[in-house]
Amino acid sequence: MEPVVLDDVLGRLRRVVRRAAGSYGLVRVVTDDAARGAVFDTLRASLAGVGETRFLPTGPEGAAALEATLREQRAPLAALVVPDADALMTFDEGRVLAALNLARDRLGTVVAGPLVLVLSPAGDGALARMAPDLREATLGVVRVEAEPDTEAAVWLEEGISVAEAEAEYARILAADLPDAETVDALLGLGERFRAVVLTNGTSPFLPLLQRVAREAEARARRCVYVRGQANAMVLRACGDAVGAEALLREAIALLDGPGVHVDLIRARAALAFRVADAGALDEGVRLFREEVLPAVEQTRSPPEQLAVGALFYRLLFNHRRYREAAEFALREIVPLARAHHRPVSELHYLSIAASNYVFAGDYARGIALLLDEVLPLARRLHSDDALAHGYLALQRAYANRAGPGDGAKALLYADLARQVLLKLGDDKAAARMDAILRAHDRLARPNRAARRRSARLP
Amino acid sequence: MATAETLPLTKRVLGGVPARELESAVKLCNPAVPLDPAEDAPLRVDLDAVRGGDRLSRMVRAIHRLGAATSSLHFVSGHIGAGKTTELRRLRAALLALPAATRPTVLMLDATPLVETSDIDLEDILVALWREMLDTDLRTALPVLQELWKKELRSFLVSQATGAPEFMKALLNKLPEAAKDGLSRLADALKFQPLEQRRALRQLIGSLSDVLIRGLNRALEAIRQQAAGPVVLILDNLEKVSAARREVVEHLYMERLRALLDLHAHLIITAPLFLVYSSAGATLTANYGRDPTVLPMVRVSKRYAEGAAPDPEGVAAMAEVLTRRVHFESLFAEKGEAARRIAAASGGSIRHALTMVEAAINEQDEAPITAASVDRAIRLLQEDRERAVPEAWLPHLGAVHRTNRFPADCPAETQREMLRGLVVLEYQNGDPSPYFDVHPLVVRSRRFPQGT
Repeated sequence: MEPVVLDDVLGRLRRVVRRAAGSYGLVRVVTDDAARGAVFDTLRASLAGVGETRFLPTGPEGAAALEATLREQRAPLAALVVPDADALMTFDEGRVLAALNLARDRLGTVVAGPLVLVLSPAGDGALARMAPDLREATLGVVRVEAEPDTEAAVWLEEGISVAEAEAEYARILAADLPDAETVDALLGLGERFRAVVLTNGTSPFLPLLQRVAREAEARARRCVYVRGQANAMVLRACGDAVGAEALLREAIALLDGPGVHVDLIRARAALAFRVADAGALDEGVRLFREEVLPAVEQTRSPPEQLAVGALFYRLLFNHRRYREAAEFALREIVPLARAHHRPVSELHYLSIAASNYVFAGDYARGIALLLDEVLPLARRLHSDDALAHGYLALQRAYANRAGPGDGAKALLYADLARQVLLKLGDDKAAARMDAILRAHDRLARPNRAARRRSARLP
Repeated sequence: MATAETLPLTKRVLGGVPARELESAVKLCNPAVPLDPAEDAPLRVDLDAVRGGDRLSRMVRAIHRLGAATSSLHFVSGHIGAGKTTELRRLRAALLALPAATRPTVLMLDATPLVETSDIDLEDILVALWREMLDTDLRTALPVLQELWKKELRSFLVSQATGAPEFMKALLNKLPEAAKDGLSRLADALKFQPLEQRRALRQLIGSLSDVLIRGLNRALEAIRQQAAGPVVLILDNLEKVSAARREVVEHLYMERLRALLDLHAHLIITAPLFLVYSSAGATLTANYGRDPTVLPMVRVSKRYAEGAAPDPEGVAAMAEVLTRRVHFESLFAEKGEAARRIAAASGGSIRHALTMVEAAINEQDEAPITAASVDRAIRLLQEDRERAVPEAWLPHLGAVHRTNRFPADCPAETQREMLRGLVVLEYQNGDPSPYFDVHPLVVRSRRFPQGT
């Protein structure tokens, strides 16, 4: 999935900028690179028609242009946007920023509306140190960050190839850092594909992962870096079907101690997973429910809670406890994602929970979830992937349930899925839907309106 | 002509106050706009009872009783956004409301253009005071200053052109004969020339500082002969020079400004808060014979030793600041409770309270503003506060919260930055000495040292 910028956040930006019109006010927009495009689009749209608005260039040219504007502007602008306010910190040792800071109470003569500074999170931190008075004089601040696909971070190799990973491994060794730093760098590399190896049991990354883990462990022992050694052992346990459990127990013994430690929680989660895979499913589930999940809740760290929750979900799913997996996702993961404004994760787990209900034959619950929550959220996030998934699941649910009117609905969703799949370029899946439709002689479009009237539309 | 930026706050919205429309509410919550004492009177809340008494009234009484025969110098300080400019405007109005027989002439100079270079010295202030006198076009002051300019200042400066560096030669040879234009030319050169050239010019003007002060005193005398009372000069926003290096700021306030004691007027000058509480603070009192007047934050929670519970009186007062501007009963789902929650989270900073109201309103297109939007606004400011706190400060902040004072091992520079960044706030509530506390939103943050 592409990074997603929340409509809610952009809506807030629109409101702040629109309501600042007519009277000077400083607006700080703190954004990461992934969301910058959406920010500028929103600013342009919000400021259209307010009067003379100036968007300065980025980089040092922008800083120089701001200085010129402060010095020369006679009639106030309706709005002024500094799209790269980070450059103010560095241009000419922050001189322009200092001038802006000191002139903050008379900026109304330059701008009779919003003065928008677009900053990176690091830039906003620097502003707090370099120009705290200006920062305090902010009318409104909006933070716009694209939400990464949390699930991708857990399950996928993030687009890195084995060759790239090998090169990264070689680069870390060649950097000749002190042992402890090398250990951390190797563990960081290993973490990027540990999850997929752990949950899928195999992967082309597995041999590399073992080499990375062994190298990290050896160096950690050498410099008596106990935590690093333990984490390397946890890494090494991935894909080691024979010795994994003993290795993990040894790592847990090293990590065990007072307080809440993320490393220990991860090690216990890996052990619970291994125990379940070794055939003691109930024991693995018990370890998760009684030890791992309560411990991760104490970290009060949403990313950790989501990552560990995702592992437990996967454990249940892998062992075909679909209904239990769905209920766990809905009861634990979705509320957490929702509370911490992670709609991508929320949508993912709503979708797979719905699919699980359908797998488990609980069609009523699956259909309700898909219609009432999955599809609306997918539309809100403009996620064609999730729409396609939802339509396919609905097609399957109605087709399997085969109640009165379900046949028509199944065809409706087959048609909708086909359209979205074609848009996504998944010709194979689209062809399957095509075949379903053709089999029922419904490929012709004229009766689409009639079908929709008979179906409960999302 | 009034522009949008000079209009009093209440005049910037339609429909009166408190605002019943979200757009108007946002405008009335602009934290950067000080209140006009007359036009914005409906918005002003008397906070003296919750921030240690009416300190500025003491200043008015002192000036009134000293009268025209004696001069005085008062420093006014406080956090950014504490309302200094609003209160100084009110002080000016109070002075101008004194009986006609003793009513002072009040000149208020905004030092912001002076401090924009962040390299300011006494000469810049003297030139600015001359300009202020000339700009206000006081018929009594103008001829006095014009004569002195022409006969002493200008003639001396022009005589210095020979052998001077090129930039100075070009400036001095073309100094206008009209005092107003000549002073403007000097002021511009002090602001826009490169640093080394500014310093050279300042040195030259410095050799005339006695003449400048003498000229100001003659002008002040002329004004006093026409008016009954003394002259009060208010120099607002000079504390913004605190953006400069600490030693520059201390040198200006401790050493250079002492020359202003020779002025035959009552001076009120704003000073950076850190200077009041640093080791230099004691010298400020010793040098100028008077404790600085500090405008503290509103006390919205009690001291740590008292349990750190919310202070109902302070919270109510802060909430009233908000409800005078925004009609919470119709615009917020929680009604007045939303104002109280925001007041408690503000730490007594009016600016932060207004910022949170604005943030809550901008969460939604339409009223009523929900409790969740208020939560989000508080959380936004909390995150903002957190980002302003470097890791190295955390142990010191824990100690400040527990003891309500800066620990001995907290460097002076760090104290300055904590106060300047509104991470630590200063309170005075009937206590003989001020006390400090960490902003409540920083205390709430996860990074704050546990066990405090």
